[in-house]
Amino acid sequence: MKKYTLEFKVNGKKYSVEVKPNVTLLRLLRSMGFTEVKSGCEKGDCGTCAVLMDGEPVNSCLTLALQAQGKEITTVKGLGTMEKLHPIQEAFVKYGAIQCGFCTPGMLITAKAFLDKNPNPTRGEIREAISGNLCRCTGYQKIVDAIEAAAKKIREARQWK
Amino acid sequence: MRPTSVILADFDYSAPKSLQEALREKKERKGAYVLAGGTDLVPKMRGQVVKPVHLIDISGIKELDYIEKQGGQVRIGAATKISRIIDSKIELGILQEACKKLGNPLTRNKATIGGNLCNASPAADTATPLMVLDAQLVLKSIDGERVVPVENFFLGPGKTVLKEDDILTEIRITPPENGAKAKFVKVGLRKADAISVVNCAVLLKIQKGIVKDAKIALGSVAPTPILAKEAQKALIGNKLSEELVEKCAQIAAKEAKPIDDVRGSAKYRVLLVEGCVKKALRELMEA
Repeated sequence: MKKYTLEFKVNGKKYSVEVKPNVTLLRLLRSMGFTEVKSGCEKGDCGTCAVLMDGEPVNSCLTLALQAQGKEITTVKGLGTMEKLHPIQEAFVKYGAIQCGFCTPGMLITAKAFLDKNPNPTRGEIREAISGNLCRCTGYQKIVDAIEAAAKKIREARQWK
Repeated sequence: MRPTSVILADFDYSAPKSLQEALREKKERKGAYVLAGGTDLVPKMRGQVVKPVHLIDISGIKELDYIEKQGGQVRIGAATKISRIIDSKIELGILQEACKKLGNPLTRNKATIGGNLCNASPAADTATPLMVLDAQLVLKSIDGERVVPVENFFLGPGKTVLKEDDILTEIRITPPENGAKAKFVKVGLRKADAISVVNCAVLLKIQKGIVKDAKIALGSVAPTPILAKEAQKALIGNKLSEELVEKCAQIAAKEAKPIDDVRGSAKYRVLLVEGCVKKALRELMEA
């Protein structure tokens, strides 16, 4: 099968890779070492594979790698580092929103994009926003708490700018 | 780089930059499938339900991604994302309500209105709203174009009137006049990320308390989305009342021809149709 050149950015860095058309973005990213992007259902129901593509959260399992041509991908590692966690990552740790951690990368990606659009959400709006991200451990309550708290922290930080 | 694991069978791929190019390719490459968001196609390919030898990716064609007013109509490009329709400042009423219930927030960022229609599931959430809005679909090939009313577009589960060389390019809606109101009701096995067990779209034009026109579209209860024509007739010329609402809902339930499947039994669906139509009509009565 023919290979094509894919040129794209991941977490701010440029990459050029030869890839077959039948490879999904999820599988490509993991093979490139971005194993923080998780494989769950690989059919768009669980959300653990979520990445930002040009700022929008999408299921990487439903995206062909070649559809990332010229795009900027952000994985959860692009949100923050151990030295400087993103406020949402910090809140997830503080509020006990992480148990096994498998849904967490997808949750953080979805939450980040959601708070960019809706900085002052109600709890109902948060629940709706994460309705494409399944968690089998936490029962969602603490995830909602964390996103609500992070939203507040981000709003307050903006006030001081 | 570690080896990727292959989920999908071999196929070739192209990403034309213009509609003309896409139409040419659709004619030249026999057996090619059109890819937009991939939210239905990629899972189908993974499950080997379909085995395209070539994918023509139209997701990057700007000329297919728009929502604009033109001569009293609203025209939507077939590759317009569901999320874009939801966020649109142009009032699309019942279509926007249905789009909010399609899939989940992540899939809505890739799924397209054209894809939802061409996938032709009887459960398609955009189909029933477009039927009550009398939407017209523009089908183009390199040799010409034709306009098809949405209610004539579906032939059966997964089957449409699209010919080998055709690509669906545009959805045209004439927004209902003032005084018309519409409601979409969806029942799924979950509150989100659910395929409709039953969905219904109802549009009423009421003048001086009398129903002048009524459209009732039902999803997931026949091989295609359908209009409940007898239930519609029962409303026209009459004043809405609780008795009329119940009568109409019962007629609609009889027009439904569902089957048993993984999401529900035929019996259950018939009950749901009655319930959904009643709910929609009651809410419109109160509005």
